[in-house]
Amino acid sequence: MTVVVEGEFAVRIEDLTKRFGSFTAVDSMSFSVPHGSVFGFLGPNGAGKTTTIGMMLGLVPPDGGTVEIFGYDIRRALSQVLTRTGAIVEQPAFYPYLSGRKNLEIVAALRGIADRDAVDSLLDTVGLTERADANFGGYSMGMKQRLGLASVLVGDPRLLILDEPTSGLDPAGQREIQNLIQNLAKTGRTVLLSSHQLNEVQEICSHVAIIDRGKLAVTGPISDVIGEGRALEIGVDRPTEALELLRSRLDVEEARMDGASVVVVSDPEHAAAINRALVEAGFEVHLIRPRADMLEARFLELTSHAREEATDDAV
Amino acid sequence: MTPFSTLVRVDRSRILRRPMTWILGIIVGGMTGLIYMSLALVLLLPEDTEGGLSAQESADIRELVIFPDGFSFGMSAIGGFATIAMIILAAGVFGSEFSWGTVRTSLMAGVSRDRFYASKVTTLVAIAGLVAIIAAVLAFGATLTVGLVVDQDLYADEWLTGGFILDALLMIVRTFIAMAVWTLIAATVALVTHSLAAGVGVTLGAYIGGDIVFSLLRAAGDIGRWAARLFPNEAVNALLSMNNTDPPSYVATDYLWITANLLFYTAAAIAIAIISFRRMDIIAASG
Ligand SMILES: Nc1ncnc2c1ncn2[C@@H]1O[C@H](COP(=O)(O)OP(=O)(O)O)[C@@H](O)[C@H]1O
Ligand SMILES: [Mg+2]
Repeated sequence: MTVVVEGEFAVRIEDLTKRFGSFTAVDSMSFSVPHGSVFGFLGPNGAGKTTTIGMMLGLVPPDGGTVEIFGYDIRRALSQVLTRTGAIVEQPAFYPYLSGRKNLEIVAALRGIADRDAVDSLLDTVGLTERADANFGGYSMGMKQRLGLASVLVGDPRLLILDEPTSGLDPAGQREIQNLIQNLAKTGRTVLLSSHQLNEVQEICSHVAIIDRGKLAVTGPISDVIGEGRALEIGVDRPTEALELLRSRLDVEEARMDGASVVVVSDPEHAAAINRALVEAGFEVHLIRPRADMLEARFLELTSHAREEATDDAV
Repeated sequence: MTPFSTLVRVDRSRILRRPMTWILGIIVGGMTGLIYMSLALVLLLPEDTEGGLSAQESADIRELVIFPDGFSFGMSAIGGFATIAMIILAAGVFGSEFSWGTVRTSLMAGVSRDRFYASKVTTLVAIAGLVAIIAAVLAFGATLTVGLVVDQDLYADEWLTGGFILDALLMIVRTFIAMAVWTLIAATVALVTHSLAAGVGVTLGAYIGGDIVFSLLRAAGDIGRWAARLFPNEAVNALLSMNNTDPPSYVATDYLWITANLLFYTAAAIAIAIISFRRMDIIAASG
């Protein structure tokens, strides 16, 4: 018997790399997912989210690097990992000619669980009881996603990996799935949630990793990454010069341009002092307000920055 | 680990609940019915009338479809349709897993790739065995029915003999082997290409097209004959011609190349499937 010391992380990824031909889809990716966190795995389309998740689950053989889940190396102990993990990758995939219930029973049977009541209660959890006996092929996108969520809960795994679970849904459907995920997270499971839509992740995640073009841009607790509650948007004439001034101040941790505004990360208590300093330096300040959509701004900044660099390289 | 028997049970249930399986069954049954119905009708026409059969033609057809030869004819006709149906079924079992994405769902449920392949192939080969038996039952029933309808005779003295029953069993085994080899090849092509269409197209092309090409090759003397023997069609056909009423008289080298050929293609199909599946990226290329 191997004794596994679990440590503080549910998932540890180190130097993970995947190439498709000459194209590097995931490039020396490293990040860790703390136990019990709701972890947002963010990046624009094509960033390498699905490929990374595929490698975590043994669906995509990596070209290099390691993945440890609950202390088990996926190369040596994939089945140990999979019994502790429930996942949806890309779209939820089931047999179209079988009912939702039958599809769940199949997942349960493959996982070695023969409990019919468990299947019924999962259908209830995701609100599919009424349409459980209709064929999966006739399900709406929202019902498919809900069946997917039910299937990841079979066997009560401690880690859930959900790849864009709200993609293809209307706002009401997205809201429903988010609520379901929030409820699941309350039970102490670790949830890794990939998305290119940041607003949804911001509300439910405790930690994030932002990736772009196969590379990690930033990772950490969400409050560290976005400076939650401490971001101020400042509207000012001559914003580039104002940016210089703000960057030199000790009470401003970070300052950057966002469109025509300057965004600073700072204690909200310093807002008045910042305003005064700008006015004293001869700037006209017409707006200072807290920014709520900071993750979006951070995300766009990080990913567009990476894009510019890549374009520069190409030239 | 989930017992292998559970995996096979799940595969069996998935195959039996799939509408395509029953459509294939109905097509094979329908073709069999059509052939026998038209042969029986032809035999029931009065002889030597305008548009009817000559006495000679009528006797030839009678010999073909009525006991004892009738059973061999039925096995060969129904076995041929059933082999095509098994090729489509096998390509469907593997190809659709990729188009539906359900292969991900199974692998993420902890089924290893080797076991995923092994349980599907075991189930398919078992179905091929069952289909060979059903083909024999159908061939027997149809031959019996034609005898009754045309001659009002059961011909029980022809088939209620130890010799006939032993021959029938051997025919079932040979038909099963032929179907199993094509089933394995179709499964491998569909798995490697991720595609039902490619599995059906390539394998049916080889199955039907091969027969035409190799009959031409055979005509090109010894070299052509031995070249043809490198392909599975030749070995399967050689095996199945032992089901004929006048089987060819094989010598040891014949049994040897037939066995070697079939074993090679069986092993190659399995090995290629397992090796390429182990390395496969099981997500679709996205935007
Ligand atoms: N099987 C594959 N073959 C070739 N390229 C692939 C394959 N899978 C993904 N890619 C490419 O790798 C990149 C990352 O894809 P993916 O991981 O699906 O991104 P995301 O999930 O973040 O949208 C994309 O450019 C995609 O085209
Ligand atoms: Mg994706």
